[in-house]
Amino acid sequence: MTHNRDSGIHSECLSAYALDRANLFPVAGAAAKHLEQCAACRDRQQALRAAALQFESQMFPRTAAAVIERVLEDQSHFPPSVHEAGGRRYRRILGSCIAAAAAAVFMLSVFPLKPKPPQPVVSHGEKATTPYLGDKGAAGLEVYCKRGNLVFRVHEGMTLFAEDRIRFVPVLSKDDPRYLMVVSVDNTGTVSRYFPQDSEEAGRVDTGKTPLPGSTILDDTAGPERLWLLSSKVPFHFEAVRSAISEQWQQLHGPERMGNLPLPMDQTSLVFWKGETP
Amino acid sequence: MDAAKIGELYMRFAPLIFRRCNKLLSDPVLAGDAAQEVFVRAMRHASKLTNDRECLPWLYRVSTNHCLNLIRARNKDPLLPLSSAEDSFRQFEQHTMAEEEARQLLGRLDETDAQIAVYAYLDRMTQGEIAEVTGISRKTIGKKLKRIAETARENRLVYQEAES
Repeated sequence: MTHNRDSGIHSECLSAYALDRANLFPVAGAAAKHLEQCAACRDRQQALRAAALQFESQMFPRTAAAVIERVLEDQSHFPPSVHEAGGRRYRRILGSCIAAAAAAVFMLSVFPLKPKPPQPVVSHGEKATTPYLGDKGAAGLEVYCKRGNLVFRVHEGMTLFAEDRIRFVPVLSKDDPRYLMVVSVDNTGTVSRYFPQDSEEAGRVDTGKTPLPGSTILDDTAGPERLWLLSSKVPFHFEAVRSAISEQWQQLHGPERMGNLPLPMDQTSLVFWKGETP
Repeated sequence: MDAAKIGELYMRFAPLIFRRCNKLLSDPVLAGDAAQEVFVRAMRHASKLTNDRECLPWLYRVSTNHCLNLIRARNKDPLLPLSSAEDSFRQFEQHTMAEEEARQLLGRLDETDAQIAVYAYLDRMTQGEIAEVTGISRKTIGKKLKRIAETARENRLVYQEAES
């Protein structure tokens, strides 16, 4: 392994640093000349721009408010001029309130409020009409993705791809038996059941935090897909769940707009995007 | 600085920060958290972000430092599979020997040399670009790279023995 590129832009291709600079500012001189002559570097530059657009459309809406609030709060406690001048730090009592309000106003001006999902209605099959006896927020869901030999946790808004393999880890607040089901709806309105894979009855799970058996290979339907973990102390059937999802889909027409299902059970959900296969 | 301006800067620079963090950490989830932290820290010196000449070196420094600290703190396994910088949103390429060696090096170098190793072997930057980002003279960069290469050669022997 050697490193003998001493300076400037010669016959070798541009570094990521040079491409970042070319994307942020007007490019001139040797870098501009190289980009004119090198299709590979132009492709890399375009890929960086595409990645930035993807960030803008997917991650930015979901993270910007929190980041802006943090920066405003950070600045109210430690104003930039203090950092730059190295002066004394001081606190403002109203800093957090102002930061949160400013962030909310900014986000509302850029991203209009989404329509609220319909209120829960108890009118389902015989097993699901039994009053729900669980605790609010008793079940969480962790989703893990395996791609090649890389494993990572899936968070709200992430982009996955066809052939990615995902597994589900329900996080139950109490180590008591529950009936679980993992379902989803994709961009075409197709409802899928990921757990249990071989039964339309909810699966009984006894332990607090254990991966559900089996894994799911994602198909190539591009666009948003919403997952739900449904949890109840009493058994329930997939048909009631499918009906609830289909009804909400017909009202809202998009997994990213959907939310809690009108079902008498604990539920948690997240949306991820399926990108086009590279 | 108001929320609108902060949002504008976040939209402009966060993709770059996230990509760098993902390249260093090989973990999109950690990279997302790290990117937010890096941006908040970078905004403490917001004048650098609004300065065309300073913003890119500043962001590279802050993101590299933060990720190197995370790697040291977590005692990350240097043999984990690597992800490509440019394709972090699309696909993960097979790691190369040079990149893997660079990661193993990080645990054996001091803070400054670790940064230079990242810029040279992971980012494939020129010595001139490394000097621009670090503020260290190109002559000194050259000397440090020579020392880093010697360390890498020693490391390679250890790596090859581990594989056999």
